Amino acid sequence: MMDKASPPPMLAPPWGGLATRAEAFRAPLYVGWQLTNACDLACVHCIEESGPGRAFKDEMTLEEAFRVVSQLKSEQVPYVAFSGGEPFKHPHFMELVASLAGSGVALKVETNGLHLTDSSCAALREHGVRAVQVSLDAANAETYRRMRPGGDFDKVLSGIRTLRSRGVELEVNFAPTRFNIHEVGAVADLSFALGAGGFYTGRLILAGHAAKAGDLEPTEERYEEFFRMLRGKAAQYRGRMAVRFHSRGIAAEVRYRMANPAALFVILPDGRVKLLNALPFVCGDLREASLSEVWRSFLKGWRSPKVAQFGRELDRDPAAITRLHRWIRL
Amino acid sequence: MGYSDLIRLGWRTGKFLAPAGERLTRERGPRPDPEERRGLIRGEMEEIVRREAADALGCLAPRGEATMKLAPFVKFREEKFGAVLFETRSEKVFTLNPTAAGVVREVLAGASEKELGERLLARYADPAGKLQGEALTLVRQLKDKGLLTD
Amino acid sequence: MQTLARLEESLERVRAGMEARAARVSGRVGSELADFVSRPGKMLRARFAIQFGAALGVEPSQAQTTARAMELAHNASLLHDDCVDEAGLRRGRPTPNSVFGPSVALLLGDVAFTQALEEVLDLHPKAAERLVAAAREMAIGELQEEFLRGSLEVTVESYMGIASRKTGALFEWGAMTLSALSPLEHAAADPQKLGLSVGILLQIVDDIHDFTLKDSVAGKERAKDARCGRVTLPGVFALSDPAQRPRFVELWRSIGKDPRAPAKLTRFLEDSGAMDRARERCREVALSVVTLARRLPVRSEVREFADFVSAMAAREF
Repeated sequence: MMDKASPPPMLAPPWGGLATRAEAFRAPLYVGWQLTNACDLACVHCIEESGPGRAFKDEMTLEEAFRVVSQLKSEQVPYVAFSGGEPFKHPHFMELVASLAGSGVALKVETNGLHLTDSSCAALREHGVRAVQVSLDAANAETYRRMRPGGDFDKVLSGIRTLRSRGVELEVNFAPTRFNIHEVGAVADLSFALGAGGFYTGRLILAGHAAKAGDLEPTEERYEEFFRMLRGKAAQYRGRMAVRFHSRGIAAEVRYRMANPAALFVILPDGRVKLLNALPFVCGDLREASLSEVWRSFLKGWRSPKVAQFGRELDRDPAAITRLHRWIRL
Repeated sequence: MGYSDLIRLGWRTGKFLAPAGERLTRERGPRPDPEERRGLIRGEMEEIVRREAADALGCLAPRGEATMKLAPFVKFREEKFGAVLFETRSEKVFTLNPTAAGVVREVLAGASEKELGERLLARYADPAGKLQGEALTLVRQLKDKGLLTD
Repeated sequence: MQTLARLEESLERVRAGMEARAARVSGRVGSELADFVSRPGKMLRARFAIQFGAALGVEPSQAQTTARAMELAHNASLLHDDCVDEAGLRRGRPTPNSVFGPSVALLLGDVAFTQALEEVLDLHPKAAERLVAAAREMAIGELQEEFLRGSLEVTVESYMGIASRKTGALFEWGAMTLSALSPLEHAAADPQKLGLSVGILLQIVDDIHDFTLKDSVAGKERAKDARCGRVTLPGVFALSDPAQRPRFVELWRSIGKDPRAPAKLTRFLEDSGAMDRARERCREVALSVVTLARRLPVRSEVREFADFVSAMAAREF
């Protein structure tokens, strides 16, 4: 019989604590997967520049997508979020949901809320989707139309009610621009009334359409008021609805992430993997490499001199983010 | 001022009086009608009850000092440094060193608190006699953090 | 028969003890209100505690105390339930909420629960702590059920889960307390599971009775669960069968609009076999209890206890 060894003390720090460095993990903890760049809306602030007919020419085939799904499962990625564009517009959206949700992976669906019919909500419930995050950038139809031309505010609210009646968790996302930032409190209240478990927002990311539009950004004064209101809402709804927001701008975010990369990556509709939503850096391609290879490239990518240089540029001139429209392969 | 602000003021000052000239304002936003609210909670209850479902013939699972499991929304994954617990609701990440990971693994395999001590002692030496106590403290801390549940 | 006489004598002691509690309160709120707190019904829980206690070799006065605590806790929940359901009748008599209004009944329920706790304070070190936990499970089970009213998304498992909290928890408490008080080896009988199963069994029986028992026998209105939007086991079985679901849903939705809907629903559940499936589940649970009960240490009492459980499962329905 083998001699038993004394175990390392389990309660010595850090037996447990908040996140360690991303390099320590063998796979991402969180994957944001943009299923398609097509969308039925063309919102003024969309950082992905999605819209009708804007699907990439070479988006992944169903087979390629299923290969990614099976690797997400085998690598035990705990949390995946489907987004886009509008994920419902992917021709095989529900099949992908069915293949991933409830298989030990927590799946969130980020949507514009225009596809929440009784049958789609029942299906989402059936498949065990963890939550649906709806972008709701306004508290009334008029502001909504300004932010999301072609959208239908009442339809979104009705879809949300259907979702809730089917017992699916709801989260709400709010993107502030000059036109709607003053409504953030009302939207938080509306979200709570609709049964949302979380309300998420942050500074406007000036990339894609938001960058091109040029005059969407709220003033710093309005932002101060915005964050003050959010802190109040967080306190008001504590324990009942999580109110979470980043007050860091993209430049500060990039700097922070360079020192502390999150164990999170973003899959584009064509299988390429980005370092961060708002950055143009691509670190790998899941059509050509395995998930764990791309994960290793991801970790290396954050250390790349190109990223460091970009970070320095942003420090000097935060508007630099608006000028980079092409993707850079690391 | 809102009601909670008033209460806080009372705690601070010892005087439960609204300052002169202040009016109490409603804090809450638009109120949905009761039927709608009930409907919303109903959806949530269906989910909760599904989670707490018990097969009467199979696992009329003894509650109390018995088997534990991961709390809802918590995922457990082995890592080279031990393991990670990921709470998908708050997106909080907790890392466990190899021994702590071993404790959680035993718990998830169905060890009760009593069996946990036995299984650990079968694997590790315990000259200071602290192993079982530390394991139980760890389990309790994880329960307090909402990562494990009965 | 000796055992029967002993059972009746013990039940008498339980009743006397409850009246003594009532007497203590009647000096403060009058005898009419005090009467509601400790008025006995079928005393199923008391019977369970006494017979199970006997089969475990528990000292009779301790089993009687356990019995009284169960009955008082049960009374407390009934007093509150009848407010929730706006019931006019209970045990064949008008409810305090219908006579005096819900606030009175709520307060009486609170009094009854404190009396249940007082019974067990000296019984066993963990008894009170566990009774609090059982009461919590009962209340949570009821809350869950309350908010599921109107829902058709109830599965057999979730129904069982709610029953295990709403009704099972108190029996589980009684069984575990008696187990702790027993001087004899009896782990093989798994008292916790046994108690829980008896509670669930009772709930299923009650839910079937809600459809099938005549008003005069039941002492309360017929098909009350359906009228309140509560789907119980027969309904759950109908919902889970794709062939029966549409008709069940149609009848269910017509309750409130068609005065004959409850009767039609009952008939449908019988004709479709859903009621029989519920009766079958009853028999299965009863069998699992009896199997465990056969391992109880006091052989001469096991037969009584098993008969009690079988009689409960087979009750005229």
